[in-house]
Amino acid sequence: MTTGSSRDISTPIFAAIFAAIGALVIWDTTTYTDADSYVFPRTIASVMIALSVLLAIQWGLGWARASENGVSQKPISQSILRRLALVFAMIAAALLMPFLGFLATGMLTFAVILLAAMYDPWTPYRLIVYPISGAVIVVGFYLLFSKVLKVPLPEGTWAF
Amino acid sequence: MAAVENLLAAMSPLNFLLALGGVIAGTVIGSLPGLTATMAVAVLVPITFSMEPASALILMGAIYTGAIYGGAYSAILLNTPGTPSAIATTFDGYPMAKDGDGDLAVTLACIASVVGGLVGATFLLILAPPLASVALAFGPVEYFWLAIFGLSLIAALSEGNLIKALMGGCLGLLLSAIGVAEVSADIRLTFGSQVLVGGIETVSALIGLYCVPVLIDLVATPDKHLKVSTQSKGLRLREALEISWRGKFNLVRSSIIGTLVGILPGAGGSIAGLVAYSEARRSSRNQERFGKGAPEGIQATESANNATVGGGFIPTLVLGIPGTPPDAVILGALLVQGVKVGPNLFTSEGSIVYTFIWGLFLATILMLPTGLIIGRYAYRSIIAIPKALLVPTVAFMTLIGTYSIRNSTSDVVIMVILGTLGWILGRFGFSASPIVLGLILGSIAEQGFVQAWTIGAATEDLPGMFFGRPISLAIIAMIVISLFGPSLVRLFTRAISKEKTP
Repeated sequence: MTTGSSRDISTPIFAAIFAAIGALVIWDTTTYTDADSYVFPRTIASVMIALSVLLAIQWGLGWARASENGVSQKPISQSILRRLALVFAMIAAALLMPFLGFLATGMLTFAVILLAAMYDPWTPYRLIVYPISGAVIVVGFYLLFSKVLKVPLPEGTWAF
Repeated sequence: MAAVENLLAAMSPLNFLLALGGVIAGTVIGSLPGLTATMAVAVLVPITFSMEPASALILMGAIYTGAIYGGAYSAILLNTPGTPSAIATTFDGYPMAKDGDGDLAVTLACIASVVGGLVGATFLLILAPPLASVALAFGPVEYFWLAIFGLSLIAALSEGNLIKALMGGCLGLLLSAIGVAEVSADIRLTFGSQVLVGGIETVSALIGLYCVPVLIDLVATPDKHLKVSTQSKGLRLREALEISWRGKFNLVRSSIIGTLVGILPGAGGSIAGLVAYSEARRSSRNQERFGKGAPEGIQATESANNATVGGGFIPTLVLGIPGTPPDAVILGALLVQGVKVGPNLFTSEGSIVYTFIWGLFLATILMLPTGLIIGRYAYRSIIAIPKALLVPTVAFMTLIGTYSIRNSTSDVVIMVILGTLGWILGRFGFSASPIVLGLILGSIAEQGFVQAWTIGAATEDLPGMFFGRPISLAIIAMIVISLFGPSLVRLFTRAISKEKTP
């Protein structure tokens, strides 16, 4: 059994989310024409709903502490902006690629993520070496994939 | 004759260079704290898509084996495991380094890794072909149960809550069903989105689930500015060889443990290292030295974690069920190349498999000189790479690698979103490995399930189809044991100890 302070509220929330996903999948399978298409996802979704109920019961009976549930005890607030910057930069890179071209997008993304990951003060050495290193890395991989491995990387409609 | 041909093919100049380059790249990436062997394989795997399958496998195997070994450097010299596989290496490696024997510990780790790698590859060469013959007797329903067995094992071996791990496996299976159904061409689980019609590309999903969470955590913390404090005294190869010879039984036993753990789906080098370490300590005459700088501890951990490479390839190549997380990525890469992994691979594509196995031997042997040289001369420079350059480099590699698989920006977006969701789920106790395994095994499981369902429905014997065949029953028994065995043993032990207590 567990004490109230060590109980996490995330577990029942995730149990509900997973059960909802399972229900959504089952609802989606009602539109399929062939039994071969729905029998597997419907079965797995049913199992997932059953497991979600089990997880909620386990939590309700207090059989597992937060730590036993694998819930991270580290604070999430630390550097949340840097994390968001990384994720948004990567998504933006994918969306901008067709317009700016791979090389320009790569340079831009590298610069944004470099800034997000930069904790040290900018010294003259870093101001010169980091951008040059970034450019060498981006151009190097661009040449490897486009010229050696013959991957058709986007040229970009706004490329100049 | 075929064996000689495959050996010569593995030794071709191109494959030799790939093995050498792979070991170096893997060792460098693995030696950086925070970057795992799985990540090393995942970010470099797109380079292999334009290669012949055997060469691609050799490169991926070399990266994998190098990365597992690379984790030992920082474990020994910085008390920070470069990869999770090297966790137990810190127990005795760092105390040795503090006593001024860091160079000796690194050389011992290198020798042990090579021995472990060679033992694992030997088991792969000896065990995989007969197991493939046995696996030929498996029908669709057995493959379905085998996929479920893989998921149950990974759930049981995952840290944290078993139910959450099983839910993660289900989520992975459902993710694999997104897109156009293979048999009936129904469009499934896209909810009107054109982006999802093509399904979730497995390798890009793996890159996302394994790399993006690591990047999200790396970017959130300042550089540790790690510095190696011990003074270099040279390779001390002769001394290390003498110690290794004295500990040969420990090396072989730990390598066998590593191979066996590697065969279990989902159990990787970290578990192998810890199991081998505790076994080495249990059977040692100098138990009190463990944790204070015992060379046997390093030998046990490093031989075991590198033996998982060969061991993990056994279920990967024979059954299409990845033995370790990096194997999942390699399996995904083979699917991209159109190589159908499974028991037939050993007969239909025998030259690919055997060339790769010999290539793995070659890469493991090459690890001795490259590992020693990198450890002696380059490691101090590697850990000096600032995080501000490391994070954008890895992020850029995930972007270009994912795009190159299907030349699709949608795949890149899906990769980042899946990775972010993986990070969120990870914080709340849903680890990535069951989701990944579900995604990988989804097609095998669905194919087997649907075929068995169809036959069962036609013969009006669904229960008999799923639960009436001897091999299926044996696999179901293993699933039950893997899921409930540990709990039953715990209950039994508790009951006995209660009885003994007056």
